[in-house]
Amino acid sequence: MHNPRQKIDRLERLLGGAYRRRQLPDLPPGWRQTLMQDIHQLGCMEKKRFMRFERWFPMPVVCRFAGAGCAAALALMAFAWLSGGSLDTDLSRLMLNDPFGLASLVLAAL
Amino acid sequence: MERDEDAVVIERILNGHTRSFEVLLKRHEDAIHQQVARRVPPENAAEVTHDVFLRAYKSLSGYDGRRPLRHWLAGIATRACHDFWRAHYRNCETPISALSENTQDWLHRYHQDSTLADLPDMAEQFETRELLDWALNKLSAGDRMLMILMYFEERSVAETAQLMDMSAANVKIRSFRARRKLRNILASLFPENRGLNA
Repeated sequence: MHNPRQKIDRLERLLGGAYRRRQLPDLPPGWRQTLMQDIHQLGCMEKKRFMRFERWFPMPVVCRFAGAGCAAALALMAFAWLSGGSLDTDLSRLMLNDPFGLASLVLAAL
Repeated sequence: MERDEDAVVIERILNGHTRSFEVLLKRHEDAIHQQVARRVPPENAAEVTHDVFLRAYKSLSGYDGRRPLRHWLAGIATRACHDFWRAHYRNCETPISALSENTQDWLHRYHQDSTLADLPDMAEQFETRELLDWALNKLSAGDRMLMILMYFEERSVAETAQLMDMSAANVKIRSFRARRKLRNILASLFPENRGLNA
């Protein structure tokens, strides 16, 4: 015990023992009920959020238009790539010069 | 067996039967609460355990079933305890004089006595528990968790890495440094050891 290192080793082991022998408190009565109330509220909120989304964007419609939207985006990208210019410039030019043409392009893709 | 039962309950919860979460709670609350209660002050244990299960509920859809649910919950519990200590991080400038008189006396006797053979009994004393909290409070939240997992709970590097969401190499390096820090803190309790690279 005169060696300082040994003294620290021993103290470290002692603290390890104190950690493992710590008396553990029980969960207070009613703890589970409170947690279940919170869980239930969370579940309701999630359901509401989903229902709100569903009302404005019904799943079948989202699914139907997702494909068409992707096709339109691909068509625009292909147009930009083939025309060799930058997509931003081309799109703004297209919208300014020929808005109906752009609309017809999108409608055709749909 | 329990794993399959958990999987069935989880599926039910994900299908909207939130009440089924109580089944998981009954199965795992004691084990998780025990882990948490060792790592945070007793008065905060219930609150942190509550947080663990709320987090588990929110991320239940991310549970892939590759490991038992209890291991997955233990990971969440470790992160919740880590977050607790990060939020309650106090400056490490707590002087030795902040320890109670009893603990300071005890330290003095420990310092003087060259035998001290009754280690198991001493581990249960109030003084050692106070000293443990004092020393751990001087570590950062991350170092504290690493010390607890690796040295006090004697978990493997791989297990600690999984619980702390770190690489094994990082756990090895950081836990080595954390232990060196703790030993320096303990060395500082004895005047002649100040500055010793323990």
